[in-house]
Amino acid sequence: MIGISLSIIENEKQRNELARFYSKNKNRFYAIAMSKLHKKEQSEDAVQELFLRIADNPDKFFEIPLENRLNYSEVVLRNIAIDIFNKMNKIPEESLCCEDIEDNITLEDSLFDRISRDEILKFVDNLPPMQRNVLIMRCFYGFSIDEVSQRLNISLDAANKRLTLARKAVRKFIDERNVDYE
Amino acid sequence: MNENVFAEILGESLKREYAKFDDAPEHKFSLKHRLAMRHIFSHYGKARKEPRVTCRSLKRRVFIALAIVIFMTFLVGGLVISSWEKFRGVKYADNTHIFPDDIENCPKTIEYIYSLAYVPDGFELFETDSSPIYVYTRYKNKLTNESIFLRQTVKSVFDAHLNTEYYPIEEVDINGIPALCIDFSDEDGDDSLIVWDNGDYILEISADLDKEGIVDLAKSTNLENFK
Repeated sequence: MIGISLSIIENEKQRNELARFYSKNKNRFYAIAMSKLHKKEQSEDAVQELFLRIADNPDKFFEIPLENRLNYSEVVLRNIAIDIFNKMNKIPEESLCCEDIEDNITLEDSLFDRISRDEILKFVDNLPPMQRNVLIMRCFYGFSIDEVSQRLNISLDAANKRLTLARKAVRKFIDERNVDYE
Repeated sequence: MNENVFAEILGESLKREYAKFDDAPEHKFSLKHRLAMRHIFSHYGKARKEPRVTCRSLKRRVFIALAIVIFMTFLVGGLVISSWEKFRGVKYADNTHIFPDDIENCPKTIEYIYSLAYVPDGFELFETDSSPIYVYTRYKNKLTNESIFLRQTVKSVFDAHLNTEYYPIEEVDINGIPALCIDFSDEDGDDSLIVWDNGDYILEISADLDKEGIVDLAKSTNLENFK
């Protein structure tokens, strides 16, 4: 019984941390979901789903540095909101052009040389949301592609394709800018 | 510029995108959402077993809930709704899920703290933890490795699964307040649990003591500043 109590207490510490995180940010999360869904019930469901996913696998959440947890949650929430929106509106999953995808597109240092940070920032801001989500999870948070697919609740194949498309778009953007400068 | 800088740009883009939500207006969440969130936090750490509620009609959810209850009834050989003076509960084959009977007009956060007026010889304060909704204190006897846990929880968030597979719940009196007590003691040692609703909070003591010892401890709880 004492052993059980100890494990409950361990869980309780995380649970209370998560409860405080929810309490502090619930209005923000709701506003983010609402900005995509425009419906109260679905937006609340999206927030709920976010915390269900965190509670399902809390270690994946608590291993993220404290300062990055909010933005991480927002990325996952955005993905959830898009999924709900697509289901509500019976929008089929985005088709990804497999035949057009190249593997191992890398972004060499020299490619960025002549492009300003602001230009890249503007470009990244305008990437398709699903591709941008995967790119952020992979490159900013440093998760493996397998991890990205689990965290965003998408198939490994979809995660791979979105990442490749995003990297390809970045590469194309850089190439075009470099040509412009030459 | 390299990929690290690119990662930084992605982070900046992310922060910029959501900065507009920094001052999100207060939203009054529906009862359904609040109950669901309470459920999520109270079942924290356990694998999700129930279906997700996203985008389901109320009728469908009621139907699913009824189907689950009927299925569980067959599965566990019947569940029993239990009721005590201060608690309600659902008895399953191996545990009893209890909730406070009345959560009206009680504090929503910990406003004052209860503690034990004494602990048995050899026990000393080992660790404490607290949040706005609970306070936890553990005493430990370093020689015997026995522990006493005292937990005070806000009533509105309290819900617990008590191990009643082989142990009955008994009602005992704590200074005029009815409490639920389970004695798990066996040939390996003493172990018991007591839970009561003092009107404002739920107090629980779990200890390597027999029933008589834990009831005496429970009777000794008082407000910290009254010590």
